[in-house]
Amino acid sequence: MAVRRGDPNILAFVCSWHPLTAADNAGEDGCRYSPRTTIVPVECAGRVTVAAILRALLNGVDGILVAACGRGDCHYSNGNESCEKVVEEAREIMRIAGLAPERLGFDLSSDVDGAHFASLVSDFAGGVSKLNGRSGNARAPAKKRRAGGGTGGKRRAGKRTTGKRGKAAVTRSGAKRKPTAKKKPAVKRKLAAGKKPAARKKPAARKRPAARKRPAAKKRPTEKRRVAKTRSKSRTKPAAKTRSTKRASRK
Amino acid sequence: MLEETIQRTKAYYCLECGICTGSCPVSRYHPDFSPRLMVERALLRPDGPSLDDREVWSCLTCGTCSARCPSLVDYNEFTRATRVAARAEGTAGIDTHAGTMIAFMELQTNAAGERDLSWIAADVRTSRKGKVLFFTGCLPYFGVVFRDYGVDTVGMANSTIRLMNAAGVRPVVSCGERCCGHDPYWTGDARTMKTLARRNLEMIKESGAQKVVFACPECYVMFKLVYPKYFGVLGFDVAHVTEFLAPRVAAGKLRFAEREGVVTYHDPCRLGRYAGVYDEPRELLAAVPGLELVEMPRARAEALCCGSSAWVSCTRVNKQIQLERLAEAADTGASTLVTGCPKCNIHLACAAKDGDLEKKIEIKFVTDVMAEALGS
Repeated sequence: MAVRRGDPNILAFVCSWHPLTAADNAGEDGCRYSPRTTIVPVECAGRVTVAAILRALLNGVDGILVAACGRGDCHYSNGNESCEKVVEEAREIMRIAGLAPERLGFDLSSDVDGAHFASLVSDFAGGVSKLNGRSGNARAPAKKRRAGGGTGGKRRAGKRTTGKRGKAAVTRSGAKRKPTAKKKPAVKRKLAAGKKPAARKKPAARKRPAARKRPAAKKRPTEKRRVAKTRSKSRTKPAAKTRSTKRASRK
Repeated sequence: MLEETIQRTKAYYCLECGICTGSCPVSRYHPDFSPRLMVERALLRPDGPSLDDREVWSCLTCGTCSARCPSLVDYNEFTRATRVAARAEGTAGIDTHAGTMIAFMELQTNAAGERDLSWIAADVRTSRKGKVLFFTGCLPYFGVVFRDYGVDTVGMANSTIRLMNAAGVRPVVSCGERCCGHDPYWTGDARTMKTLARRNLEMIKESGAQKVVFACPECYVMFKLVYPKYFGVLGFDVAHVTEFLAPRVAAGKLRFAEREGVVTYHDPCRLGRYAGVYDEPRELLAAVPGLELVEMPRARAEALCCGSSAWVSCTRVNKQIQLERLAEAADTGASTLVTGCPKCNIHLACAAKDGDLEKKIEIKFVTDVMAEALGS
């Protein structure tokens, strides 16, 4: 199941505003971070509950990372602050239950840089794998795996763990291999397709950061996708009229 | 399943007299909920009661109806069995506190490691091995969640050990302890309860303790009445802290300083109607010189429930019950409402906070009152 023995199983609750943009950028830029990271996008970090964190631990996750927007940057006023309270409470409960509170990572940041997200996950995963008593983490991700981590199926990733990588896993060096600048052009092209190369800059407060990629579930398609949809619609139903055109024809 | 439940709880004896619904604190504020109707539906409908009915989770399992039923129908067990069936169907009640409580209880089934014992105060004495074990239960966990409510459950655990120390006992407090499983059990999750129970029984066996003392009546009742049903004879004695202390106080082992004040005692469902412990807490309070104990109109087996149980379904109705109980306590003229259960304390303190009754009456756990009065 494991991508590599020693890679901690990380669940990341990621706020859909700044941190998820950072995660997307990390994917687009081919930044490398712990491959066994499952990202769970949440509309706001304030939505994360103590129960969700504890249940993840109960279900065998090694570490949980909660990524919220920076102070003063929460789109919903104080979601990040209430999340901070939840994390504190969960950490205390974990301490009483005999679980290292370090297994719960928390980041308050509005940095949408992919490298920031990658280093955040890698540093956290490194700490967690130390807790697991295994060798270091933050190695290069599995070859065909999406560099962005994403919610990729564990089993698929596991199947690829053979040969070389299997050996690398048992190295007890514990040394962190820094993510190299070498990119995977194939993956990059695939990910970058259909997206406008928006300039990566810090967004102004209360504004959804750089709309480069949106999760499909949110039903907020990018400009291009929307165009494509209407095109295909018109192809199948040429006679279909939109509400406005109907109104216009009635007049 | 339903047939078996009806047989086991003697639901078929139901005379339709309606004493249960008349006694039910929930029905009083929530006419849609009726214990009598629940039983009738089970008896008359071939497919049993509707399991996705929200009212399955409204029962407080306080036992008032069962205590008064002329046919001795075990309505609490009936509710529990219905919840087991409802859970099997994939429905569940709405967990209070965003599910935190049930989550940390479930966490203790496998993920949790050795429990942290740093909550034990510097002045209390515990030992590694011994004949008496103090079962803390979820008190350290509640301490985290209810800090903002002004309820110090860690203090309750410490004051319990302090009193035991004063009686010359240094109890074992084990880091291998788990939740007793009371709340998963009463919300229909017997599997979680069994896992937790097995771990607790192993831990106690390893410690070699012959007597286990509880501060929380829910843990106590689980060990006293439920564990033996699943695991047979436990091989050690169980006692609520009030039961443990009362004979020692009577023998003069503990001495209390003079305290002024009028207090009233709230009988918890588990300690009272379930375990039948009514006199011991009162004996303890009477042992404090100067402390006057006044009774509420509804006391002992007639006591009103604290209004919430098993961390499921806490609504406007529950709040009404709690406010009713607080008003009853305040009417006695007492300045302090003493409870025998940390959870009653939490629920009533929550209602007092909401109802702005904090200045009117103080709510305290029995060992806190006793430890404060300890002659120093």
